[in-house]
Amino acid sequence: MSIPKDLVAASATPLVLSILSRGESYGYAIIKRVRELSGGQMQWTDGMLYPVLHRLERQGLIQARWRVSETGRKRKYYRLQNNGAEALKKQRSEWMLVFSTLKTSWEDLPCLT
Amino acid sequence: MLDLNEAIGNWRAGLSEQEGCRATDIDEMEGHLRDEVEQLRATNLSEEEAWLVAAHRLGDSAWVAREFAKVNEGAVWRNRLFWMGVALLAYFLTDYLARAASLACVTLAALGGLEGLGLSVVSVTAKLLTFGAALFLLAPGLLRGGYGMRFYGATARPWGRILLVGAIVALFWAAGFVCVYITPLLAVRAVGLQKYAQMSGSAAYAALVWSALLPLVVAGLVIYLHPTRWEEAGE
Repeated sequence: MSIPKDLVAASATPLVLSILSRGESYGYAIIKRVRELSGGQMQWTDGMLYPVLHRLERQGLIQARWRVSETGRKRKYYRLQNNGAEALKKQRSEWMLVFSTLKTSWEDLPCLT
Repeated sequence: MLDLNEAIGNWRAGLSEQEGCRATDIDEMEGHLRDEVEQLRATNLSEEEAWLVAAHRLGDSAWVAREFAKVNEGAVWRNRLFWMGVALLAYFLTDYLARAASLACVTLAALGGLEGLGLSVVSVTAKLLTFGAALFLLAPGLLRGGYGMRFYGATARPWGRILLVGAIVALFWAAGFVCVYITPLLAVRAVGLQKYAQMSGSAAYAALVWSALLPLVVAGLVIYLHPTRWEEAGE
C-alpha cells in the first residue's frame, strides 16, 4: 500500500524520534527499521530522511556525531536528546488521540473490506 | 560494467551543482548509498542493478537538493551573497582600472593638443574599452576562483587556492587603488593645474555619459538573463 506524501511527512518525525529512543542510530539503519516496522509496507523515498534528521538536529531534539563505522567508512550517528524524548512523549499522545478518535468514529461503520 | 566509484562520483557532482546540499550532507548520503548497494549485492543483484535501485530509492537529485535547501536556508543564502560579493568586487576592480586608464589616455590626448569635446570622447572610449577588457579578463578568473571556494560542493576547503585567489584579488585591488590616486597626480604634473582643470571639465561630460550608459547596459543584461526568458526556451 502506498501512503500519501503528506501522511509520510507528518509521521516521519515521531517515527524517527521513536526509533532513536531505542538507542543511537544512523540514516540507513533508521530507514531499514522503518521498513521492518511497517512490514515493508511503508516505502520512504530515502532522501527524505536526511533533511528530517538535520531539522531535528537543528531543533536540538537529537544530536549528531561522525564516527568511523565497523565497515571503515565514516558515518553520522544520531542520538536522542532530553528535549527529543519530551517531544516524542508529546507527539505520541497527539497521535494516540488522533488514532483513537478515528478508531471510535469507524467502530459503528459497516466493514468496508 | 559499471564502476561504482565513478557512478557515485557523477552522482556527487550532480548534487553539488544544485543549490541546497552541503558537502557533509552529500558525504552522509554517499555512505547510505554504499550501505544500500552492499545490502542489495548480498541478495544477488549485480553491482549495476544494485546501484540503480539504491539511487532510485534515494530519490531524484533535484528533489533531494530542494528538500535540503529548506533545512539549509542559511547556507543557501550565504552562497548567494558570496556570488553577489564576487560580482561587486569584480565591478570595483574594473572600475578602478577603467578610471585610471581613461585619465591616462585623456592626459596623453591633452598633451597632444586635443581639447573640449574631443577629450570627452577619448575619456568615454578609453573607459569603455578598459572596462570591457578588464571585465572579460578578470571575470572568468574570479568566477573560477570563486567556484572552487563555494560554501558547499567541495569536500575540502582548498586553502592553497583560497590564498592564491585572495593574493590576486588583493594585488589587483592595490594596483587599481594606486592607479586611481596616482594617475591624477601624474596627470597634474604632466599637464599643469590649469589644463588639468579643463581636462576635468571635459571628463565630467564623459562621466555623465558613462553613468547614464552603464546602468542601461546592465539593465539590458538583467532583462536578457531573466530566468523566465530561459525557462520558455526550455533551457
